[in-house]
Formats: sequence, structure tokens, C-alpha cells
Amino acid sequence: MKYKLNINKPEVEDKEIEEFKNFHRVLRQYREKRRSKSLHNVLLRLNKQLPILIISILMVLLIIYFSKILKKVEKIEQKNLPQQEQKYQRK
Amino acid sequence: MHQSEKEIQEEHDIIKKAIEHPEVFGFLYEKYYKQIFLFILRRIDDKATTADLASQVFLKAMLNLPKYKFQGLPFSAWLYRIATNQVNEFYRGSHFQRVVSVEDEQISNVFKEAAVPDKDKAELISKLLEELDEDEVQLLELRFFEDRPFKEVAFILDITENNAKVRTYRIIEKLKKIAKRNYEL
Repeated sequence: MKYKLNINKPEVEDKEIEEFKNFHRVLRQYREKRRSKSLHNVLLRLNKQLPILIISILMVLLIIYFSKILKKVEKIEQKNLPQQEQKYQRK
Repeated sequence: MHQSEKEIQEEHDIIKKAIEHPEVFGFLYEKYYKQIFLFILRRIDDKATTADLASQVFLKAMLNLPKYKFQGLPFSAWLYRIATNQVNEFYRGSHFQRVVSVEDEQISNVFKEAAVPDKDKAELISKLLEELDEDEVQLLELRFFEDRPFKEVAFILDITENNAKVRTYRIIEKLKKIAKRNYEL
């Protein structure tokens, strides 16, 4: 049998149903869930924005790194340039 | 339970307030607890489990209240929808046999609709249940055993009103066939 069939089963008394009622418990559960849900939402938002943040930091680091290299190269070039000129002048 | 347009609108105002102030939801809890409890009990047949599921229904309703869309139906229809899903979820994860609770008079109404003689009711309805799938049984319960309008049945089961009518027609046709087979033997 797929189903258990109840025909004309007597209804439960109101008093008995009242005993199961507890809105305060539901309200407490609601507040707990809301709290954990809001934390979950913050983590979810962070999770979505984290790759963008990492990529941005990497980009900034790369820019700083390359600008430093560029400065070094410029310094070397500036050092080398007058020496060569002096050599030409002697000749 | 029939509600006037005014009552439905008033209820909608309470819902709006309850989104900001969850304590206000207590009014709806008080109003619908018994209905939801009995709705689940007819499908579960265990008071303690029913009380647990009823609490879950109200908790889910409170958590999802901002998503609730007013469609001109009483708020109870939305609670029945959540309760139906809750009951389905309960059976999905358990080995318990599904329960169908019905009054003698309600079976007579189904038989009347199908123009089937009003005899061997229990036997025929058992055979019908055996041949119906889960969705059809839910429709049979809501439409015939609980006498709900098609609009509400459709909303609870998340189908169109037309679809609910077509499926109901098929159930009636199945009952006719079963009765014919039964009386021919």
C-alpha cells in the first residue's frame, strides 16, 4: 500500500492543539536564523568581492614593481650617458 | 475559511508591518496555527511531528516574508503552500507511509463528481490512491477532501489554474475507470 487511509478519524481537540502553540520559540528561532543569515550574507558578499580585491592588489603591486625597475633603468642610463659623451669628447 | 476582500487587505497590511517588526507576526500565528496544524496532521497522523512541522512552517514564513507577493489570496494559501512543501520534504527523507485523511462525506462528493454509485467507497478510494501519483493525490486532497477553489489549489501546488482543472478531470476519469472495472468483476 502506497498510502495509509484514515476515514472519519476524530479531530483533535482545540485544547490539545493550544498546548503545542509557542510563538515565542518560533520568534527566538527566527532571530537566531536572521543573525546567522546576516553573517552568511556578509561572508557571501566578501566571497564575491574577494577575487576582485586580490586582482586589484596584484595589479597595484605589479605597477609599483615595474615603476621601481623603470626608475633603476633610468638611473643606470643617466650614469652611462655622460661617460660615453666624455669618451667621445676625448677622441 | 472564506475571507472578504477587506479582511484580505487588512491582513496584507499586517504582513507589511511584520516585515519590520517580527512580533506582529504573532497575530498571524494565532490566527492560522490551528488550520496549519490540522492541515499537516491529516497528512502525517502524528501530533508531535505535526507540531514540529507546523513550527517550521511559521518560521519559514517569517524568514521569507519579504519575498511574499500579494496575489489577492488569503495569507493562509501561502502558509498551506509552505506546509505542503514541508510535508513533502518530511516524506522524502523518511521511510514512513504517506497518510491520507478523509471524511465519508468528502468521498461521496468525489463519487458524485465522477457520477459513480456511492458504494464500496473505502475500497474504491484505496484503489484510486494506488493509481495516482503524489501530485495527483495532493490535488485530490486539496480540491475534494478540503473543498478549496481551483485558484487556491493552483497557488498551493505552484501550477496554473488551468493545469489544476485538467489534472482534476484526469483524476475523475481514473476514478470512473476504476469503478467500471470494479463493478464489471
